[in-house]
Amino acid sequence: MGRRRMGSAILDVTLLISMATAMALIFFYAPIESKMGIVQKIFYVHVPLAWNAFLGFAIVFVASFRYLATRDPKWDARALSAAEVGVLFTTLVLITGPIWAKPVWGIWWTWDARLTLTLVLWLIYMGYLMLRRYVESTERRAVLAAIVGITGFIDVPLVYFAIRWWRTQHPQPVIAGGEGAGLDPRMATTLWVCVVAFTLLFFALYRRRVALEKLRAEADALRDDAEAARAEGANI
Amino acid sequence: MSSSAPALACERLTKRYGRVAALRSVDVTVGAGECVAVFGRNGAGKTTLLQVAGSLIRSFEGEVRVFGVNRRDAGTETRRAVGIVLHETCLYDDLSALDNLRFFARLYRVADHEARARESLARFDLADRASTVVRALSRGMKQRLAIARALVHRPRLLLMDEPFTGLDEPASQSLVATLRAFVGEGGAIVMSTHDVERAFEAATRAIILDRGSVTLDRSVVDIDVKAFRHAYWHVLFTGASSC
Amino acid sequence: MLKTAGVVLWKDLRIELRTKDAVSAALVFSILVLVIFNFALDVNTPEMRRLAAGFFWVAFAFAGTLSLNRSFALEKESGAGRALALAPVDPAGIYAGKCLANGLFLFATQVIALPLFVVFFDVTIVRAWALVVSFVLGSIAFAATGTLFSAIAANTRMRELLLPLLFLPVSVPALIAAVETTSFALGNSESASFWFTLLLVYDVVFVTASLLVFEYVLEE
Repeated sequence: MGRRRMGSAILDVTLLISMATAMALIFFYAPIESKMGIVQKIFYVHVPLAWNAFLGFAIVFVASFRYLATRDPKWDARALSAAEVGVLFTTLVLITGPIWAKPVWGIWWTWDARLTLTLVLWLIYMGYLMLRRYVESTERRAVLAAIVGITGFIDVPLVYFAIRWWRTQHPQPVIAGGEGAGLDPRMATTLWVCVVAFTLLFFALYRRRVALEKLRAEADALRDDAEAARAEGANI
Repeated sequence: MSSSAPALACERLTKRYGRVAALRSVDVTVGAGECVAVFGRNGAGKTTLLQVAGSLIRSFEGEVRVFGVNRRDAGTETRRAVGIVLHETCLYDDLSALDNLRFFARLYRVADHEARARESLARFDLADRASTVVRALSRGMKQRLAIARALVHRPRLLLMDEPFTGLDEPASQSLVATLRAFVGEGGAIVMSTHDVERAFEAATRAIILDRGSVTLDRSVVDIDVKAFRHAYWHVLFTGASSC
Repeated sequence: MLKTAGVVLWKDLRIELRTKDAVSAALVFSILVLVIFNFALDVNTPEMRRLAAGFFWVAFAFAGTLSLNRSFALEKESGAGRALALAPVDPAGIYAGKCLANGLFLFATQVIALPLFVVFFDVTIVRAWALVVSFVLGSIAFAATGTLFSAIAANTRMRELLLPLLFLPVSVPALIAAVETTSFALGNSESASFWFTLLLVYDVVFVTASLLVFEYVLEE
């Protein structure tokens, strides 16, 4: 236990340091983009959030698979945790996107390929979480959720291709290629540091959620014990 | 699948929901030609026992073998040998009586499915309702059809959850006759029930389940019906067992 | 497995022939949506006519969920689905049968709704073969994921909400492809080979995945 606590502490400290570094770089190191101005800096948050949103669902996929293979509840706990943290990050992507878009392009939402894909991902996440909510039995919930986790993930590449091709056929007046185009090396560094920082954040939240889930399962088991004992006692 | 193995063999069967045990280390063996009536309060584990035997419940502790095949490994062959009647009719309300039987006969790959479906219908006195939609049938008719459905594929083990509920006098008598005939041909039956009279007419053995444990397991000939009924009511109303 | 699929398909067809629930519900709903579009927007402009395929599929996507819901609702109603699941059959066969039945119902709905659609939106069918292929592949796509999610949602207490919630996001690629292929059939674009391919790939991927995964949906 001691070693795990130490490991946890180290990760948390690393997270703090990297986040602090990231913020410092964003505000003091990265140059101000010539066309978009200071608002462009949301990019350093928006992109790492997006990367993690998709990473989250990849974890849901893997955990769902492992659950169906092993039926070990810890995989279900991992899938659930990844989904919850993932949906949080996805929501933030969907919020930072418009915040960036409005001042820069004058419209809140651009229906560009990436943002649209993220929106669909958000919907798939929501479906996953809502399904979990409405299934009564614990085991059925885990199995059915796992199926949805797997099919949802398989869908993502198909959604990506569909939207990409659709976009080339129906081009937007606004082209959202701004961030990819010619990154100044200072911007690139800042971006990378942010990616690392946010990924660490993702895992910090994820780990805590998994631990919380484990505690909840233990609490439920204790409650069941108490119920059983009471039922026994009442009958004698 | 062995033809000499008992139809159903449960050893130390335990089923827990969370920490509550619906069945506790139940040992029951049912052989060919036996009809076992399972009595007990609601919640005593009767339905759970039937569900495990019928592979509706897959996770449990202990051993359960149907015709010698471990329920955990059970492939499709054992399913073919088992027929189940539950609380729900398990019929398609929008199909006719005959179509329902045709469907299940075909599903189970019964060789002479058309003839078999009609024959089953006739046996349960539903021939004149062949093309009536199940939704339009009376409760008693639905129940008879449900039993016909369970038997259409010629199973060797019949599991029934309170089969006499909803049946009137003539239908009950008829069911008793059917069950006796089934057992006479070498089939095995496990049925849960509250109907002591009917059960004793059809059954060869009686079991009482109390809070998941077997408290009585005796051949029907060794039991005096009146005494049994008295003891059973005692179990039902006080929760205490005096058998 | 094929035999099981055949028996299940026969059963669902019999039920539908008798009740006509699935097709009529979907048909009425899609007509309703198309009519409402007519009131909400001015669909008589050339721009709108170009978007007609989109309106059609939107109406159909929502209407389709009604008939898909019914597919497993009827299994749950009196527990018949349980007896079906307990039979000595390959679960994939049950899926295949139901998926085919649903696909047929969806296709039938589209075919019946087509004349009304042509009338309301004043479109011309330039490439009939493309329209048929579009409808067939689109119906299979919706049936493939719809049947799977319908079976999943049937286990919950909010199945009418969960089915569209699960099914619609996942069907986005198929929806886009279906709209593009129908649009092509109506003469609004010059090529749609990518879309036909995507739709086909989608169908293959999801039918295969569902066949593999269906036994888990059925277990209790």
